[in-house]
Amino acid sequence: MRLCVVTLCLLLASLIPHTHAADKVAAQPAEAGTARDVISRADTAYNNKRYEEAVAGYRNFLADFGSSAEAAPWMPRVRYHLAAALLQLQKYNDAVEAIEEARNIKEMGAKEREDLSFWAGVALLQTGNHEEAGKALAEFRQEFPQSARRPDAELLAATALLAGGKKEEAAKSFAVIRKSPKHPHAGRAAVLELHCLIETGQDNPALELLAEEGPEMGKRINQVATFQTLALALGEKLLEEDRPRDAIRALQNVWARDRLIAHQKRKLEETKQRLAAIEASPKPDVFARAQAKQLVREVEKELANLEKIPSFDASVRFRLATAFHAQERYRECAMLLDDMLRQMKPDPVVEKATLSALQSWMAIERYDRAIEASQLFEQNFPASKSLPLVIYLRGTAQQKAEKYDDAVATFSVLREKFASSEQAPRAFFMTGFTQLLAERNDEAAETFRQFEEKYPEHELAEPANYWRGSALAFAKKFPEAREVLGAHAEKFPKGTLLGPAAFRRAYCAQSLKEYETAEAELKDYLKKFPQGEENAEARILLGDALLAQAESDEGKKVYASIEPASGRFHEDAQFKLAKVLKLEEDYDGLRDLMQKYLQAYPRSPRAAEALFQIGQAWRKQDQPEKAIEAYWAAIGERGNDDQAYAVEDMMLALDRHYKGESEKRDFQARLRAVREKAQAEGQSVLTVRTIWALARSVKKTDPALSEALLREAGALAEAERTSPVILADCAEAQFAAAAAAAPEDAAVRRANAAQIYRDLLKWHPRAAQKDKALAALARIAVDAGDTETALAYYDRLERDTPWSSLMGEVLAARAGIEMEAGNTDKAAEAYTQLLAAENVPSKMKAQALLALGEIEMSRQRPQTAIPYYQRIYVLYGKWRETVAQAYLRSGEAFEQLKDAEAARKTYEELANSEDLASLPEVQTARERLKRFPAAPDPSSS
Amino acid sequence: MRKTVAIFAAVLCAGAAPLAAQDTVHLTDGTKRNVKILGLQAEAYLISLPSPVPGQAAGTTTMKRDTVSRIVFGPDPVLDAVAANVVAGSLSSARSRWQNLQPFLGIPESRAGEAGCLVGEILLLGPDPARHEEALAVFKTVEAGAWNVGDRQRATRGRLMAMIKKGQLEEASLEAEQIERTAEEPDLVIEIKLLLAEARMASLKTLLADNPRWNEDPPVRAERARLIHEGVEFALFPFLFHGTKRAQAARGLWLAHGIYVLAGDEHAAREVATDLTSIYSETPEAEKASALPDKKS
Repeated sequence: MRLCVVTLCLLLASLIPHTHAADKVAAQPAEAGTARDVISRADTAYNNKRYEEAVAGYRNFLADFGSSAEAAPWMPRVRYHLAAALLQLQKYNDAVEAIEEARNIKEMGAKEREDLSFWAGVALLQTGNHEEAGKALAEFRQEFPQSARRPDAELLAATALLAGGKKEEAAKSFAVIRKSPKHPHAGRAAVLELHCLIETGQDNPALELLAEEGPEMGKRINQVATFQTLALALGEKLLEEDRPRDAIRALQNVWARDRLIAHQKRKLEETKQRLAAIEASPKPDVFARAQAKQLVREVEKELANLEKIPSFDASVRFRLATAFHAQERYRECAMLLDDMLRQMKPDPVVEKATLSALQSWMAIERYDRAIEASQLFEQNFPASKSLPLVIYLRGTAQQKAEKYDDAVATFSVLREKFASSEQAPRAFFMTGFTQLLAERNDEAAETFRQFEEKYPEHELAEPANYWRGSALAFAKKFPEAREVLGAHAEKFPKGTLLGPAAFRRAYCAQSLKEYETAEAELKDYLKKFPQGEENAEARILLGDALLAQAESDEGKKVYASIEPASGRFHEDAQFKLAKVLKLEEDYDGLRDLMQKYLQAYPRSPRAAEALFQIGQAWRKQDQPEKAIEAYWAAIGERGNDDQAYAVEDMMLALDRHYKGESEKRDFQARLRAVREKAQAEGQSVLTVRTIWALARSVKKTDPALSEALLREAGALAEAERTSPVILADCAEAQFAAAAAAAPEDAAVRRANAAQIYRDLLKWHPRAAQKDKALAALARIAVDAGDTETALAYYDRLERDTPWSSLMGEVLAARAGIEMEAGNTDKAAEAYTQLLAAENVPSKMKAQALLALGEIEMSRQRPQTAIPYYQRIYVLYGKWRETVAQAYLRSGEAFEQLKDAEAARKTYEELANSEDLASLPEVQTARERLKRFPAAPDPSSS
Repeated sequence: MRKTVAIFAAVLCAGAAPLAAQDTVHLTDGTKRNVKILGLQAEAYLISLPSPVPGQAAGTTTMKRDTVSRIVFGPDPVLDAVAANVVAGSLSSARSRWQNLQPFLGIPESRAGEAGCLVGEILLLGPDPARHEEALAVFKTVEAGAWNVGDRQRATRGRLMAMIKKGQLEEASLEAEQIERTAEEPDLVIEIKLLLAEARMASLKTLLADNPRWNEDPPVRAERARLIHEGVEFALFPFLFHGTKRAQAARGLWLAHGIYVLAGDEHAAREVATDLTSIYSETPEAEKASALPDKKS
């Protein structure tokens, strides 16, 4: 309503015309005189905007001369001006009457009649006669359809409906104006229509209006800030009504505050320039001037309001974020709130937003952003009551991101700085848990012990006790673990971890080989906790314990009781049963068991093991041919199944069943037959497998044929469906062929090998051959001079296969590349890593030490080179050539240090070494010794 | 009749004058001359002057650069036509204008920068790598030498697009991120965010194609997650922070949809598709979203 009244007043101010303003004349008191004098004075007052005086003058005239015939010619002008003056004085009731009287004058001019008709509506509106006003304005439009004021009348008529409380009708009227092409008040009508729709709860049409006007509102709507404030209000309303998506639709129409202010300032400047241009023109357009003035006032007011709301953006963003949160779209919520934290000044709204942002980032596992948000929070709100929670969440995010050291440090900081907070004990507990995840079991056990001591009554005391016992068990401190876990039930009689504690305790007994104790405790566990999570595992252990005590019948029953639903425990149990049956020499039972296993788990990686058991059983019953047939039958059934991973193992095992040259040839012939049949039937996986198996079978007797077969297999293999074992063999065969081939052919072979290795990595990311593939690809890259690609492969190898036995070769190669590139620091780093690696041959370590010594010598640092050389001949004596070189270089280093005595001794050691006598370095040492004076004879005095 | 002829002649002469001498050169002595600038030498402009004798060909001469305070270049209808219709068919016209205007790249008021950018943008429309290379070179030239900040920024955008087309995703991403940190004007920031989103999406496609069993490889899994997170967040930037820039917001939402589809997150993909159809219904991206199978049902 307020919006409507303001609009109306401002509109009215523009609609009352003024004649050309003369120089201002001082107000004259009402005087007597001729009719002409009276009118002249009244007109002068009117033209100088002294409306009270003008009204008095005109009324005097009407009173004194109104009924005379001589006054008749002046009546139209008098009545017209009187009505206009009363409107200017905002004496609308009087104006209504005056307008009516003026309109009754037949001689009234057409232009004046038009004005009076229009003013009638305006005055009635002002007197609160909304309905009458509407009628009057409708009459005006009907009577003067071409009037320049028609658009104004339309707007006023709609405003009359709004003022009269008929908001729904008003909305419709405003909509007509808004949608009329080129209507001068379309923008204003949009604002008023939106207001009416919101007021009458017509949210969907309001949203449609926003969708229609939103894209062009900067151009069409002058009161764009008001329009957007309404959009914001609508958004808030929809949020409260739990319509988050619709709220977003509304809120997306709101600009950033800075943009809004900049836009309105530009508009204000443009309007002022337009106003100045109008006023500077010789004949200013009154109506245009009034409109421009009105717009200036409106925009100034909007700007003033906007500038009073510094948190406008925060308000919008927060509501948008709330809407997204309601839809569980945590990323959008987090992004909006995070931006508030970074862009806006710290205040309570931003503080609350940041905490929500942190939680939202955690919800989508965007831990890096959560950690950043927590750090910014701490920076901006160091005294916040929520800071302990924020730090706790940071630690949790670091833990989930596997940044265990950071997590432990964060939890420690929380405990120190906020010892009395609710989060402090949780942080303590999480410290221990993080240490467990990082496999720092001893530290974890100690942390949990301290937790129990400090917080014996805390809700986490029981889990702490349980995990303390478990940590000790993981650290293989079984007696201590048993002690802790044994006391668990007594300490926490109503605890929720009684079952797991009991199980873990029994597990420790088993680990200590205390089978009788383990048996009793496991049986007790299974009785007390029949639905326990560790049930299947407990049965496995119990079976093992019983068998260890030669209670095989009971043991078998326990193994057999493990349900298939237990997954791998059930599978394990089958093989344990098989072991028992084998010991009992129940080969029929064994075969039966393993056949059932094969049927139930045809794709299991242990299928080959099951088949092996079957074969063994036949052999034990002196029926080796049936063992062989069992293998062929399994290969026949599963050979073309690329998901049956054990087939390759079966084929290799089958090969071992054929002894001697003649049997081997039979095996190979049968393989060829299987291959031909498979190829004929389009069984591509079995075809490749049989070719590969054949290649393996002839490898020792006919290496060339083996290689050729592998190349054939490689050409036929579809990497996605071929075992990485086969792929790796095929790639190696290509390499071997390249070594013996002409350069052009060699290049092709190497390219083939590289492609196979790349396919292996692509389709089998967990393959055991991954390190081999990466190392080979790196070598190919090095040979091609592409050191960047080579280093990338080496990086990947070190990251993905740290266990690789090729690590020494890789690190040495990397060091070599870095040395060639002049990156001695990186080369030294690689050599140092090589020395620390576990699965590296000692020869390589000796060579690495030599290289490190050489790097120091190249840096003119002989004093740091010497220890490297000395380590070689102290620790790696068996690598004679390296030792000899180390001696020589060590001597040179001493010489550079001007330590003649040490140099001489070093050369002497080398020269006198029997073990190294045959090496050329010894001769060099002898030559160098000649440069030194002989050592003093210790016996001479 | 005579009057008509006279009027016609006057009109003809008036019309002829601009065609012969299109550029206005303001000299340092306060005077100005209407000439046609033909080229640029080290210290002088090569200009064409209309002959005072009707029917005679225009003459050429030079005008020292240090006597010129500014130039108001005349209309360029060919360039206007190219700008109004940036399609592959406009390439030869664009190239011709660029060749003619290139010497004036650093001269204020010239449209050389615009011409260069148009050539680059047209070259990037097709899949031809040689054209992408050419586009890159043109954009670099404009970026380095254009007098107009707007042209330089446009060239920067074009160069980043060319790098992305050439597969230099990481380099383009790194540079776009650098620019985004210092850029103030939201349109450039938005464009860069969308470029970054496209780059992440392209990297994600490559990663998934190269690693079909990504879920078995922890480092690849982590890289996949990073590309999805970053790609979606870049894509959503215009929607969340500049929702009234409707074309860019819609484009970003459609990009986010594409990334979610690659990620196998159907629920999230549906959410952003619904944002498109309900909030940006007038956009071409919303039309695509409406045509999606689950949206239809």
